[in-house]
Amino acid sequence: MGLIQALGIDGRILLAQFLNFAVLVFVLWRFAYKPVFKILEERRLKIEKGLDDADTAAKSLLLTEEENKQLLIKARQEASVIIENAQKQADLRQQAVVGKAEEEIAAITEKERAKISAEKEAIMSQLKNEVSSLVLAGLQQFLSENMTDKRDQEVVSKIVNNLEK
Amino acid sequence: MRLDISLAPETLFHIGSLAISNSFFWLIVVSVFLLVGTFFLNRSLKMRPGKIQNIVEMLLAGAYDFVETTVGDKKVARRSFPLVFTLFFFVLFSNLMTFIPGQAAVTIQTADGVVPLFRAIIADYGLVFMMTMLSVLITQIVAIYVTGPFKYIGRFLNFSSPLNFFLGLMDLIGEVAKIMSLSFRLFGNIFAGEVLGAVMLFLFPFFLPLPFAFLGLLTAVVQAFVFAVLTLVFISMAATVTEAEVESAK
Repeated sequence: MGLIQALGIDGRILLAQFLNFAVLVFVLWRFAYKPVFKILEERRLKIEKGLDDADTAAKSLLLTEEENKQLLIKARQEASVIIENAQKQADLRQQAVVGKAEEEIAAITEKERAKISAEKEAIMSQLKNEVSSLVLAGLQQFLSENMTDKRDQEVVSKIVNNLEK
Repeated sequence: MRLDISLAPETLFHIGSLAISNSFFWLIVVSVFLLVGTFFLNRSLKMRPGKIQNIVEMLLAGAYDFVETTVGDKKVARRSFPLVFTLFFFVLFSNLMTFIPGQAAVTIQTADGVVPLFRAIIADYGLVFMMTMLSVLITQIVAIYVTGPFKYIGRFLNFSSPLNFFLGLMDLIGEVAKIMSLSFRLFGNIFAGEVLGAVMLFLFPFFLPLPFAFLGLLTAVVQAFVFAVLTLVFISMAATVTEAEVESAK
């Protein structure tokens, strides 16, 4: 008992100290540890979610970029095909147009040539007729006025000479 | 000039027949301070922590990790953390309070004579005894809860062989010795630190007490840690069924 007294132990004080400590444990646990751990956990989850979101975003970005690339490549290929087709068609059409034009030109030329030659022939034959009738008329007149025997002789000999040359 | 060293805390005043000692007075003051601090901390908790919250979070998270790795069982760690950490923090805080300078100079005139107003809270064996009893009793409760009441008694009163009976008695003595060793370790260290500081201050107040103050600071931290960790180890030992018990259960 001497030791207990020397150490100053009092049952009621012990009880008071116990209650005090119990309150301290409870309050610190309820209002300090618990909320702090809760906030730590919440923050951990939030960070995890943020990191996950960032991952997803990065992945989708990569995917989109890849898609864009593919789309661009496809578009380019299509464009080149379209251009090629257009070129071909244009070439074909040009050839067709040129061929047709050439044919038309040839036909027109032929026609004109035939026309011209026909006209020429007609003119020539007309000219021949007119010239021959003119010559005949002129000749008849000339013969009827100037022809003497002597003269006839000279002309005949001249013609014969000319023919002989 | 006289140096008064009292093993028991000095009585400051009486409430009815209840003697309020200086240690008890400061225990109440520190407790109220901690409660108010908790209130303000609780009010200011934010998702984006400030400086104080950062420190508190670091301390709590670090302590919890330590408890979990020491115990090894998540459930036991979660259950024992509030008690163990409060023991640690309360003892540490109370010890560090004594390093606020000037305390030794303040005395107060009471019915019993001139008494120092300040005394280290932990240098009150009653309080340390209460905390030790709490720690040991909770250890026993955990052990009973885990092994069952009959197995628990069988631990100490084992009549299967003379050797086992002897070992059981040794275990019983060991449990009682736990109370002694745990409480007197903490009380002795802090009280001795107080006495040493007082003596050095009495002998030569300039510079001489400094190294002892540093030693006391180290003791303050280490003893708070040791007390809490020993409690934790006792609880975790009680919570795990020993191999011999597993063998006997088969």
